[in-house]
Amino acid sequence: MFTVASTMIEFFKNSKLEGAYMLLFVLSIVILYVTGRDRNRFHVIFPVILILGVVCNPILVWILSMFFPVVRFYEPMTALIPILIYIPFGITELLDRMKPLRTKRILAVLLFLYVGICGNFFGLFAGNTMTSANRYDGQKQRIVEYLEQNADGPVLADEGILSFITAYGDDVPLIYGHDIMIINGDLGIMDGYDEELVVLHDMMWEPEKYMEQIAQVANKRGCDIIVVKHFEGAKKAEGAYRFALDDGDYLVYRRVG
Amino acid sequence: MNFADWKNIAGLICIIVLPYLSGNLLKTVIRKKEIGQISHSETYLLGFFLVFLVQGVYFTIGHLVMKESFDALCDGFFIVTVALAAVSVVALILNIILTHKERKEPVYRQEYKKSDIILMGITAVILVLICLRIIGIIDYIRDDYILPTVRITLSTGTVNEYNPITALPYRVGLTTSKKIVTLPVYYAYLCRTFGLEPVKLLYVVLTLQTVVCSYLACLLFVRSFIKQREKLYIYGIFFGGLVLSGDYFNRSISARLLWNGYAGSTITTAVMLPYMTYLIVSCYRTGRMAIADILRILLVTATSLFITGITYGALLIVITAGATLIGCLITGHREFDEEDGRPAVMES
Repeated sequence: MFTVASTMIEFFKNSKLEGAYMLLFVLSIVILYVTGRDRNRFHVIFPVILILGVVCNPILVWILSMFFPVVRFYEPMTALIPILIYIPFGITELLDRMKPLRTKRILAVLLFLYVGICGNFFGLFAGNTMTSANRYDGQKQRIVEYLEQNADGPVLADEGILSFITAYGDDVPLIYGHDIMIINGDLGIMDGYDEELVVLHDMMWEPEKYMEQIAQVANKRGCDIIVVKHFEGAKKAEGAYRFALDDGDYLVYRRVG
Repeated sequence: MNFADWKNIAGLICIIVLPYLSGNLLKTVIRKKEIGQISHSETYLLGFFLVFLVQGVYFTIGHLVMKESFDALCDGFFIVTVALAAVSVVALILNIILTHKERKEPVYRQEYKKSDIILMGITAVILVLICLRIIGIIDYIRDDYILPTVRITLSTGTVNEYNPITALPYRVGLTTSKKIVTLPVYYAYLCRTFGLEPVKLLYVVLTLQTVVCSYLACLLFVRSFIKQREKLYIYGIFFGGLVLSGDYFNRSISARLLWNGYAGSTITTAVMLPYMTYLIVSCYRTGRMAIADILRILLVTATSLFITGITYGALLIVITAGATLIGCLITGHREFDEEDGRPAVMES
């Protein structure tokens, strides 16, 4: 209940973070209220407040999430209406009230730059979305292509490369996917993972400590290939697996015999 | 240019143009007497929804009921697409003739001013920047199941038999709610039929289409309150700026638009929600809810079932529609409607 009760706060936090778009939205509402004619105010402001009050209402979300668990995860999406409709709408009305054309133009440019600064400045500072970990670069491509060519049976892979194998690898079977950590997600896949796989997944975070156990479980499960994060002191052979590839970020072991 | 390239181009034309053609089919069905009531933007959006609805119905029946193979489904849907396009072209011609006939007196139109053209140019530049941005992030991973599902459908030639995450055959399978989400199958059909690469289709073409449709849907809502062309262009410029800068966080709406524009949940939130809000508000402002309005609301709700599943899409849209309708009913302001009950000719 306390988690759900923070829905409204999470809504504002998730929409704001390093940006200030929710503040812009609040300012837009003030601008629209001040600049709008009396008879227009309710048409403009009341629906969005009602929508946000209903759709982001923690009580309603709590009730619905008892029947539809996925509802709890989608409150940030309702940020479209305040952000993409009302911020530009408020700015448009504000600029319309500016009388000298020169002032209007200068203010328009400044506001446009301010919108950029409130976000990631037109993509130049992309936060946690454009990092090397998220990029399908040559090194990851090499691993995925190796797996496509050599994997006959399931592959056990490190979390960091799982998504890339799933997205870019053609028919590379995985013993578990990146959804092993998704709880109550909306993928709709009813096939679950057993306890042994969850433990195996946890061990894969520290291959330098658990490589021997990883190899044992992987062999028991019929894995052909193991892909682990590169670590110092890795052996050339682990149980039934022999070292096959090192691309600097990952070590690849292949089962022999 | 080789044959594969021509197939690609045909596919792109189909994706971009078919919604507008299909929208004319709906425009003929729900035609209103006032000229311009269904604008080109709304025509495109209606066709956009209709294409998704048709694919949803077809692939759901074909796969779940008739148990057809993926290849057979694709061949059949190609025929359906051609038939839909053909009927839509007839509808387009009919609309042009009827529109010409109904215009018994010349409609006064404002000329485009120099400032309008400059603002239009800036809007176009922003759209190009968004396009470049979308292309620039093509190499970055999106953690979803749609691209893997498209790939596994293409490589195995089966529908919903393999887990897209692990590429292993399902032991149990999908929930019923997700079985009717045929969006990945439709995307796989486009790749197979027109030789399009899944990554480029999803991450660039469909994402850009969703961004444009989201802009059109938001613009429809705002056009209820803004009549001057210059103001609409200014709105569009700042909308574009927000989309360009808004993905500072991977769950923000701009991030969903730029990074997951092909996903059913994004289409529902970014296109259907504002369109539904516009429909309800405009119904209230005109003081009536005609059969045509109900049909459009049903179209949006039905489409959401096939692109997000029973749970999320329809639920969110129904809640939004209900909330907006309640809000509009409570306000009780009618003076604005008397003065502006008819759509205005664009002013400059």
